[in-house]
Amino acid sequence: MERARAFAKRLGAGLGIIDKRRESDKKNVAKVMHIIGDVAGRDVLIVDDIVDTAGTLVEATEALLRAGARRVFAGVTHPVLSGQAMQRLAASHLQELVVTDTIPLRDKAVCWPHLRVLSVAHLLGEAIKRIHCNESVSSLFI
Amino acid sequence: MDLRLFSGRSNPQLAQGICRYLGIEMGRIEVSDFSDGEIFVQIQENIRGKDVFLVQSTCHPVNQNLMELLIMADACRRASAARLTAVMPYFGYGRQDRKDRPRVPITAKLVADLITAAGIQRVLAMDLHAGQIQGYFNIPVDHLFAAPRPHRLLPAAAVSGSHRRVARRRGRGARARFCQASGRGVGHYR
Repeated sequence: MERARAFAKRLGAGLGIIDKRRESDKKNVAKVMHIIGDVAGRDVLIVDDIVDTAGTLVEATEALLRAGARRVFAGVTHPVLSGQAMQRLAASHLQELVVTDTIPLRDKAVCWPHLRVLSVAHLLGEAIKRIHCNESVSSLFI
Repeated sequence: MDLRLFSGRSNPQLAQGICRYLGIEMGRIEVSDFSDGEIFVQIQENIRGKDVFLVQSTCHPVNQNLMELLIMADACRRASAARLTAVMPYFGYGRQDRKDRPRVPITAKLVADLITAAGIQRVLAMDLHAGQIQGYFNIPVDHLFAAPRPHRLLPAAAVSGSHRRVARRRGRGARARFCQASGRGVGHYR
């Protein structure tokens, strides 16, 4: 939450929260309950660490659109994208999903043209260089 | 102390990109499977006294990629590497980070123990599902965030309008970060 607030501040954007409840007995099944914050008429960015089956992401997208969001984008670091993820994304109203190359996409990217991949090679390379030279790694983020 | 970087089979493309950034050649290593499924590793250069980095994402197939990392680490340790760092861009099992129900494992902690037991002395990870996973290790863990400079990393389309909103999924491990959309294909942060 602290980090989300910092992001919103740096972006000059408002902060919204999607309250997600997971059904306890089902492992990968997500259920979006409700949206906290006003999204009507706005562009929304969903940020998360992992997109696995894309169930959460797609349900969140549809919930945001129902709440009046103009367009929904998403940025997720790790594209696990297992099971029906690509089919779900292809059938969703998500404008764009930006992921990184921490996990190779292999042939998944062709299924859906709105998937963008950014490389973290430079960031990891810089961290490795700093570790090797006994320099600060945390200062990368200041 | 020389720096050497070796890649497992999970994400060689990313490892190649890291080598390009560092201006070094990728370390020579043989990683192969026996017909019964066992993994075989041989470091094909002298790494005695070197600062060795092993790049491996423990993504699908998770167990194979994890075991491969452990075997690579064992080979490096027995080859007298001075320091061994696991670079894990994606840390598999990271979501099994607590006993949220009765009689379940904390597999993220088990993986941390396995990594340490294999002789790895340092971990470089990115966007761990829970930051607390750093504490599952008794060795140093450097934890990177994929978007170090968010104000420079937004999709052009998304920042063009004056009405913006960051929605954050509320739940364990979810945290805000965003990335840059720089056209199609793979872009870079800088």
